[in-house]
Amino acid sequence: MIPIAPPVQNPIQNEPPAIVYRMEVTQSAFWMKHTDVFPKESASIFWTRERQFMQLTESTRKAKAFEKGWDGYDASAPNDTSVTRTLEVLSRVRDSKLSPYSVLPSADGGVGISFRGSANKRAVLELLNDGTSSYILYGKGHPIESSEFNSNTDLPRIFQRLEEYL
Amino acid sequence: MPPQHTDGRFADQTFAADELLFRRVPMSHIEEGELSLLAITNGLKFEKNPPECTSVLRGKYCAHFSDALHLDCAEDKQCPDTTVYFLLVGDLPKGIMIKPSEKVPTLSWDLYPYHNPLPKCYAHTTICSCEHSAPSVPVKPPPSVREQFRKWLWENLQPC
Repeated sequence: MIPIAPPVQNPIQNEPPAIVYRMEVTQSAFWMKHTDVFPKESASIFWTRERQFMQLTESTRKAKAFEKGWDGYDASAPNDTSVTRTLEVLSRVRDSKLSPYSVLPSADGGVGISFRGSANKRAVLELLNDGTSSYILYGKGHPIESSEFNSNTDLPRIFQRLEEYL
Repeated sequence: MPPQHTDGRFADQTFAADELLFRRVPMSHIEEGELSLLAITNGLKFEKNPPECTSVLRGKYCAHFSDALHLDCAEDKQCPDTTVYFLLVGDLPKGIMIKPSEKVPTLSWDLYPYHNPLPKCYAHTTICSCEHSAPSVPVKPPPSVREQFRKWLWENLQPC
């Protein structure tokens, strides 16, 4: 009796879509520019993170649309300096283990990247219009820790501190 | 009904502990019901001059918390995407300590309300800071104290 070979399946079709797509990704920036081909729904950790950073990038760009006085008082609008630096820091965060929660204008004039951790722990990276940068660790029931940093040289140290804290 | 205008009245620096202080908050900075720290300025401009300190409206001279959104009390600006949060006078922090690394003579700082009526907004008030040993004398605190005040406001501002 001649054994019947099982039907040949296309290995590509059997792969989870995210893995197939991942093979083709060489530059994340490509997906930032071609959002129309971005998967709408995916359980993939890779795509979830990609989508999250795409939204954060959009939030950063939209921060420029806030006008002076957006806080109901006299907060300055984010300027090009703070928006550009936030985009640079976001791209560095993307390569770390951190997952930002949101990007919003800061009432001090600039942009802030916020993080949420366990036990109500919170963190913020502020990139201000005047070129200064600072991080703040805080949370209900937790003491506040803050310091200025140089966004060109200190980011690895700051990311490590945020990872430890959150 | 528009907010009370000053109409020649003097300021009233008597505050009850249970008096409410109202502050505008941008809706964009309320995330899953939680106010973002980014909506609060660092130290809320605790300048030496009380009129330059953080603006709020005192409840004693408001008909409703929405007075804070009225043109008369919002520098003639429309506030379409803004809501109102409140603080209690009696909760304003006292005895905030400096960070040990800061070499300033004053160790301990307080927040206090200062009634600062505007012509079209009698309820206008500012939150100022002072040395704990010299109540109601406005002084700008060192950075670590401003950060602690900022966190305190983040923790204590509540939606109306």
